Amino acid sequence: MGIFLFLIIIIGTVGLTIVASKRTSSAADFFVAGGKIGGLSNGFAIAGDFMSAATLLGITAIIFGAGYDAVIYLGAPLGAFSIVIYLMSDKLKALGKYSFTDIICARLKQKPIRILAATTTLSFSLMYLMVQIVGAGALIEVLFGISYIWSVIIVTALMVIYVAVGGMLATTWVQITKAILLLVGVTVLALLTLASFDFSFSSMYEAAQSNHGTDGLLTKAGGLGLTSLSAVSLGIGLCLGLAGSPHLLMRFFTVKDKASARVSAGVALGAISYVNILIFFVIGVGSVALVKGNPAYLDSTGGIIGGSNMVSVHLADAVGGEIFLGIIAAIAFATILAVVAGLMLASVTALTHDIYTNVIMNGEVDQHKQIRLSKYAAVALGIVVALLGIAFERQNIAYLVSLTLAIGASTNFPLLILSMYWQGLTTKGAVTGGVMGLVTAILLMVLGPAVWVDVLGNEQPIFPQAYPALFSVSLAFFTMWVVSIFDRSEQAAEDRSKFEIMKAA
Amino acid sequence: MQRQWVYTGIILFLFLILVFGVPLFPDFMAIDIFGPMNLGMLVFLFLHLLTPILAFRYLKQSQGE
Repeated sequence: MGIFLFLIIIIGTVGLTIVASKRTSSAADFFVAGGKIGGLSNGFAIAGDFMSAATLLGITAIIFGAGYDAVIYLGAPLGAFSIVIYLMSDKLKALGKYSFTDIICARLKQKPIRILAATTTLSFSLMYLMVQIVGAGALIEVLFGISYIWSVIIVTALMVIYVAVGGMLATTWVQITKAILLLVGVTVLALLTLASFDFSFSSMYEAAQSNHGTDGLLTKAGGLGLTSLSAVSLGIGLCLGLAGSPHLLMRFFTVKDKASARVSAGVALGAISYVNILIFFVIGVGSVALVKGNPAYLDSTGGIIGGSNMVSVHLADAVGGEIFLGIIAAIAFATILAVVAGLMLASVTALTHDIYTNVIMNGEVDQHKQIRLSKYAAVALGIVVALLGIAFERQNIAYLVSLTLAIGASTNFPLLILSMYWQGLTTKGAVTGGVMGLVTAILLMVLGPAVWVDVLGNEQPIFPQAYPALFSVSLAFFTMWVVSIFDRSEQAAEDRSKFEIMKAA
Repeated sequence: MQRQWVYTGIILFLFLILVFGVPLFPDFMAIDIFGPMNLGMLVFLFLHLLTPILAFRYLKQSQGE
């Protein structure tokens, strides 16, 4: 059953991609689906783009292991989407063409900003892609017995096909399909879980509390052992990182006007809130009650088969049997495919639209050549991502997402929000602060426990904090502010005068 | 102050209560409200209900202008 659904998802999405490719002829079609996507459809596509493997697999795993503390992971997207819908969406739609860099370039000098934004977009997207590939590899390995490496290769190949063949239209259709499947899937999973306890929340929570241990941390804070510093750093990184995610921001260029952009964000917010509530109150707790300690889901070492990221899939088996396991696994697989397609498209846009077209060719390029180059870029990036996915096998994907988002929070978010709302920002300040944010985020990540200890095998991390965002975001904002206020160049005067464009948007 | 800043502030304030509640006042957030629901879980639920409600209210207001 599982393999059958797995093949249905592959055949269905590749079929959508082929249909989409016949409707993609111009660069605008390829990068933003010609700006013809409706607000409601785009809202579901944004929800599909956002709700990644980390949502269904990783956050359920965090509730399974650490209980209540998952509220930080689940609450962050609501903060992020509120910032986007209220403070960014109108300006994004009014000034953007293919990438969020277009908005910043409306008032700052184009070349240095595009080079910086393309670098941050690639750093962010490649790491985020790697995280999704890790989730996909583990999922396919557990369900179909295909080796982790081959699983990674299959997902990467599909991602490249969606983007290279169908562009934004195919990516949108895959994301809408996935969002609907996910909404239906988590609803049924939650209902079946509650049905296992005769729809009694109290019975489910009692069973989960006794399985989780006597510390009461299923419903009380403390499971992740976060200090004040690390909790704030994690929260800031997730929230601002999502608000600066290039693959989410570029979805606002696929609709026709500001009203549709706002509707998109509102629909996405509703869908995300709904899924979060079900995961936090039912699916996460249900997995503790029904999967934890259940010998059917333990391997020979006493750990969860396939790792903790698989608990929601095991829960599906516990409450709905083998057929429902196949359905939820297929949905999780579709979830990953939709997100990786969006991320890959954002990376390709950064390379071909920002760097090649606007920096190297000064905007003068044949659009068919631009599309052809985008396809080559998708293949090359796919190879890089597959190699990264293999190197980071078996890391907790929600944790890796938090590290990746620290890059978006430290670079794209300060660049965007200051260029939109602070007249004093200059090109020099933006570039210096952006570089500072990017370098600090990556450096602290590498020197921290996730890479220095877990990946490189050292005994102690050089940077002791697991979440670097608080430091890198503060440094990025501070550097942009200091450099900008001391910038007395002619370019700075021009940058400040062009702020009128933002006011009008 | 423009309403979009007020709405953003409300949502970020609720989110920050959840964030700071984890390390700084876990016992307070664990106060029982009803059944298995405690204060932290109630704030979480309130945030998730209020966010889309405010968003759609904002959409309606924007469309009326």
